[in-house]
Amino acid sequence: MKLDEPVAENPLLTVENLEVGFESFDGFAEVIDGVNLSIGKGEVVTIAGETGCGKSVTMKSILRLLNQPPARVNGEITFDGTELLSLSDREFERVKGQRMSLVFQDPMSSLNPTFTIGEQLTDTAQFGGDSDTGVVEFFRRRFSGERDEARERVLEMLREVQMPDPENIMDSYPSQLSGGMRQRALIAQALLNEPDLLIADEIGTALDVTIHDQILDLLKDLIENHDLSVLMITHNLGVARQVSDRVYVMYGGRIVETAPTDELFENPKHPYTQGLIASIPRLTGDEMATGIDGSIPEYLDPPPGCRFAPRCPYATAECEQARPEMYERGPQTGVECVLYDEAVPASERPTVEETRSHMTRRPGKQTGGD
Amino acid sequence: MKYWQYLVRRLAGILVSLIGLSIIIFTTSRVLPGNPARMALGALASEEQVQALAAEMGLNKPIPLQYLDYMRGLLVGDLGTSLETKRAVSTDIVYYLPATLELITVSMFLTVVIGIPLGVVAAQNKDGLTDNATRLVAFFSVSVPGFFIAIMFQLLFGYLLEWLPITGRLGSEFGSGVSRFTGFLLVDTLLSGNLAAHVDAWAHIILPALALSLAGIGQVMRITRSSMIDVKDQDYVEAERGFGLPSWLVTYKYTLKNAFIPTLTILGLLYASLLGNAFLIELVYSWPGLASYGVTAVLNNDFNAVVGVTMTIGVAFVSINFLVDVLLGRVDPRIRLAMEEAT
Repeated sequence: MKLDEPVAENPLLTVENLEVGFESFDGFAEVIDGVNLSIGKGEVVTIAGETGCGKSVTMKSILRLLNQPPARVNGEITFDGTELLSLSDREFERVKGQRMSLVFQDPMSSLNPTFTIGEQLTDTAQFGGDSDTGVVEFFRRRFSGERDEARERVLEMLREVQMPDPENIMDSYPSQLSGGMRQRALIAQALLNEPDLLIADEIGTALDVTIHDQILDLLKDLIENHDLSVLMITHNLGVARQVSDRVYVMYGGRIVETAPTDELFENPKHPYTQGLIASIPRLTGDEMATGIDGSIPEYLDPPPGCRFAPRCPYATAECEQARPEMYERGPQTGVECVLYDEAVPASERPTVEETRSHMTRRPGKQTGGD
Repeated sequence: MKYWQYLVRRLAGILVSLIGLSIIIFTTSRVLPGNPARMALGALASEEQVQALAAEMGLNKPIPLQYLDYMRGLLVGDLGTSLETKRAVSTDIVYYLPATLELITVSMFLTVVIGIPLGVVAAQNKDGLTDNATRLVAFFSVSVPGFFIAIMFQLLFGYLLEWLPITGRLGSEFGSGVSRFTGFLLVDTLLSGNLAAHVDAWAHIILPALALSLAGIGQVMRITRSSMIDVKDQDYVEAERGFGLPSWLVTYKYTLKNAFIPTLTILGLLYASLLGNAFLIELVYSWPGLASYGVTAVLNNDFNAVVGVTMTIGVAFVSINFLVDVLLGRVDPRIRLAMEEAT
């Protein structure tokens, strides 16, 4: 059975048959090739995959952050009943500014270096989502009592993201803040206008592990308190496991597997997902896999069938010719791989261990003892 | 270290470089071929008269001693006497400098108010019609010599259209109605309460100032354009846009402030270089400024005047660059903070 309808029960955002290509001097690169995904109200969804597999392009097409041309975006993106791609830039800006928020990948480069934290966040609190504000209107509101209220709101939000000494931080420049503090400031900025949908691109990956962990915990609390729907983008499966309800695994511009988080980690199906999980270093065991052999496809001339086929240890001639269907394998679970056709006996489907055995390995550190 | 402490240190450095400049320019002016005393007295003067004047001017002493004498004079504002005008060089400089400064300041003003907005607009329409048009204008303005444009302006606006006066700083009919307070006519006419003369002063300055500013406008436009395009692609600008801030606010507040940093450095250099380069424009418009005074001094081997003018331009150069440093620290907190951290 084919799983092509959106899988969320009460969808806030659905993306159907998204196709994104880029014109370049070398030809047309088909990067995103028919992506379907959905995010339910109050749901936390992760898109996971290695660098270069199209996660950020997917996110940027949703937020209309790609320059067109060279990019070409087709498909259907529906946000709370509104089709986004057909909106004018102005209408889209309004929806985006008022209802969606983005936390960028790198906290070091996502705050304006020449303005104080207070200045940028208060402007966001006061004018975020009001992209129609004219110059006169701006100055009238900027120098009215409304400014003080906005400032209070920013301070409150900084406290909520557990920013140390928020009063002082308001008068500081980004370069005076640590990475963790900048990340907190960015999260605060993203939440100032009470968005319904938060899109987080590789949140915290630029930080060291302990801070990263704190940020994820903070994010979990905020998601709960603000009743947010979240689309997370990460190459780190640990992050996906820690915060999300459901995971999409992306490879070569396609969704190759989707499942609720627990199901995905306990019972990964697609050889690519299995490979990703098999590559996570373990503390026990005397050898470790060095990752899936090969590299992501060349988008100017992608493999005609399954895009993972050239790297897949189980690939057959069939895989190289036609794109497999998305087979439904349980509630909200689907996998785009011919091995999951009903005609294939379960015993022929690979396990993580089997996939690991096909990967290049090197001796791991001896853990001692027996 | 606080930023002001850093600035004080910069000031000390500036003093040292000015002393260096004075040594170089003084020595050069003294070792150049040609006898200043002979130049001053003319070809008909006898050898005894020349010797006597040379002795009086101290030209027989070793150069280091001459330099010390000169520096002693400098401390009390005595730059020696001009062989050409027979007046104290300091008097001449006080007389001519305001005319040049006024001209340069007005052309810098034009450079900023024309160059920066055009650069922003070009960046907004990257590779569009406006961008290509301004690119063409920029190439033209940088590559065509200023004096040629100056003459064309005179022909067009002065001779053919008869809109604006061609030479001088003020119409002769206003000569008696304006007293000299600062030497800046745009200020003096106002202080004298003579509005008609004020308007006339603008009419006189606008053509030379525009001719002088064209090359700078081209440069500032291109620098602003490329740094705007650079900054526009930064994550923080994308983020500000993403939060739904008005796009004019993102452009003129959040992007331009960052893009202004390289432009500001260029503006400082431009201001200083105009001091020397204003000469041809001053010549074309009979503008009684320091640049043409300096060039006349060089041609006549008027060595006191040459040293005086060079030192004045040197002081102006380092002052402007110092001011740019102060402003850069204000615009870009990273510069200020880096200085405060590097104890």
